[in-house]
Amino acid sequence: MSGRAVVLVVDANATTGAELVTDIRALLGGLADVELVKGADEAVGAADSIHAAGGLVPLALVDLDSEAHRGADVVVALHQHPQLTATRTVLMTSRVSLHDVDEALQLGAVNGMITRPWTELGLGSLLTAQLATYLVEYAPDRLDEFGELLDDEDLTAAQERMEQQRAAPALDATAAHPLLGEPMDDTEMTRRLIELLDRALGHPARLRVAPGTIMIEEGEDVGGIYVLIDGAVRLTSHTQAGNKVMHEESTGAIVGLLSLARHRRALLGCQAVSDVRAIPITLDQLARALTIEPELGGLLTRILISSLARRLRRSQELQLELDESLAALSEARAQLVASARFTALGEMAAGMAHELNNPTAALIRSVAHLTDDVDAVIDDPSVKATILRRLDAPAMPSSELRALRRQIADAVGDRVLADRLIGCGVNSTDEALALTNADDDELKRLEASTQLAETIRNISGVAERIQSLVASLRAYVRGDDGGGVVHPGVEVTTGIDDALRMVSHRLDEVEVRREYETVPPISARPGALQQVWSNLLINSLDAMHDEGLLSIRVRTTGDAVTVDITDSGPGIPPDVQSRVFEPRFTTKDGQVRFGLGLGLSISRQIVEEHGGTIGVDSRPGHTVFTVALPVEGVV
Amino acid sequence: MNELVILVVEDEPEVRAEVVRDLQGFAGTIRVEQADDVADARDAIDEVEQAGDRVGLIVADHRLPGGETGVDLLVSLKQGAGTGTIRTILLTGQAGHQDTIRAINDADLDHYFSKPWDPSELVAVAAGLLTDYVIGAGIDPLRYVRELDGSRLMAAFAQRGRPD
Repeated sequence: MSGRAVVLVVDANATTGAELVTDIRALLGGLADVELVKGADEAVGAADSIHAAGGLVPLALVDLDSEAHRGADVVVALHQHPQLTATRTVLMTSRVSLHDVDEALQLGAVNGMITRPWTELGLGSLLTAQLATYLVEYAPDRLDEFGELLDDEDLTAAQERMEQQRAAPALDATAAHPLLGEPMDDTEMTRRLIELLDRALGHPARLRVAPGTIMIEEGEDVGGIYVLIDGAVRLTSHTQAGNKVMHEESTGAIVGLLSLARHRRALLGCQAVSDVRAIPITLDQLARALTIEPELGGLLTRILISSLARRLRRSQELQLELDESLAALSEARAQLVASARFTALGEMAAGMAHELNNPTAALIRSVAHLTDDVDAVIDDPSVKATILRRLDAPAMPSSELRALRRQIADAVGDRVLADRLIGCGVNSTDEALALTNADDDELKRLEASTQLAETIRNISGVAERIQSLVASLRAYVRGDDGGGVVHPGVEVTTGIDDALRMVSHRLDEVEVRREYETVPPISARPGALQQVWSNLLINSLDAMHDEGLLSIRVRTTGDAVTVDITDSGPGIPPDVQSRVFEPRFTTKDGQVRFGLGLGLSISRQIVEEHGGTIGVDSRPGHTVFTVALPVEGVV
Repeated sequence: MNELVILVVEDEPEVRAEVVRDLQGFAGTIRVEQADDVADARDAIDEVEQAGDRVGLIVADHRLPGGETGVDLLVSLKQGAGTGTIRTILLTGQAGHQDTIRAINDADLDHYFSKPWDPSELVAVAAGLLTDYVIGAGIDPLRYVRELDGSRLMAAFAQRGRPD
């Protein structure tokens, strides 16, 4: 025989209070009574009379929205009344913030919370959970009474709880500390944690949130932690690159505990990514639970370690990803800088070649016209003969010139006169002796005409050299601005000679040996081939440090034209030979440079695009790069 | 004989011809000889000595064929017996920085011209250096008063024979 079980509804507003009473009555189906009271005093009075009649008050729902009283005060008053201390207290509010009931929370006087408008389902699960907790704790013998109200899970939990209370002593000295106990998987540990928290805190309210709900704002004050029952959350951090997801898979079952190390400022933001069921635990609740349940501390530590380990792994992964990205980035940057530089140089060279082409052509034409004009203007036959002879004569080597001057000086007996006679274009002692009687005017005229002829010859020779340099430059850059157009009649040897001319400034100390057989013209992209020859020549010269022997052999092999470029450099070590055509491979200080690494890999690409092959054979002092290009390689 | 000689060492005939022509103003009293490369330059110096003449100034290109550069030539002359006092001009289109430093430090280079050169400056520098050479070598200065630095040569002449 036992007294009534009464659920108290504390609401100053008669209308909303009555609605809640009606709903609760319907849900309880007569298993417990429901009484509406207006405030703390009425509630205390009601509780006293219920107790006097042998009844109990398992649950009080306190309205928080009323203007008539401060909800927090009501809760505190109920909690301090002896007959109501054990009563489960649930807040009813339309607000989502728990800020103004802090003091009630601090006392551990709040067991749950339900928001307006409530749903039948929400209210129902709250009622059964709170009733179950109360009954297990204070009136286990009356559990059966409410059997149909409580679901199986609650009943099972309640029964386990009673078993424990009955059977086990509070402390088992033989049991291992939870931190060192049998390994448990995360799900198991979380389940146990929730169980312990429920026991210590009297089944704290569960919180359900929809996907997208922000549960913790980064940097804000955190009043407690969340224990995740199910669903997924992600932890995010504001970064310069936007909101970065730090953990999702790696979150773990407890969120917010790390903030305690940061003066309760949240380290990371927390957002639900699915429907989430979580238990919000205030710091005071946590402190209380840790005191009540000795096992909890160890378990919590264990879960935290496991969770931190998971987060640490994730952060190591992030660090590795970052390192890899940085390495890739710096490599890409080096390549970009190198390639941008050579693109710029290439464009400049192309521009220069075009700009130089016109004045050079004009220069060559001008020299030809000058020669014709000189011929037309000069009447004196001896002067004309001197000029024409000098125009065609090749320049005399210095040593011959010095010997000639000595001979003439001996013959005419006057060094200064000998100099003048040579300046007149004299080539032998006989010619010199024939002029010894010439007067000063005659000598001056002959000197001037010889000088004129030599000047024209020099201008003409120099202009032709400029023209051939410009032509080489144009041939060299054609591949870049011509977009790799295929020409049917490309002369391989001409291309190699053009490339040689482009590196002629490095050939002073190099003996260049050319063995060119007569080979058929091939079908190819001339600009691209120029790049191959230049890359190979530059590569060889780099290896030789610009001195030694460079042999270039061009021959026909079946349907292909084969070019061997051999240098006398130190050679490529055997283990490296197979990799020299790999992109970015370089034997020079790991630097990406034109004609190295990149150069050889580009060369291979071009040769293969032409249907050809490229290979290397190297021993110290003898390194051969062999390129074979089919005559009908590309069409 | 005992003639003073300027030796021009340059491998490109067109360039050599222009340098020689720029220096032709000295030809009345100072001979201008030419050489194609370093080996040829050594031959030319031997020829000059055999004839009883002396090289007072060398104008050398840096880049020369045949394995030795103009700087190599100047360095070896500076260290050679009897050639250490020859004045030197390096005339170059593209000597590397290191080569120029070596020329100045090891060959005691007197002057450096980069191509293209200014002919009047070349002549003025050559005249100054030859004047130094004439005074230093104790050659009769009066003979060169017209082509070289006359006032310095006259002053040197006035100093001759006096005790230091």
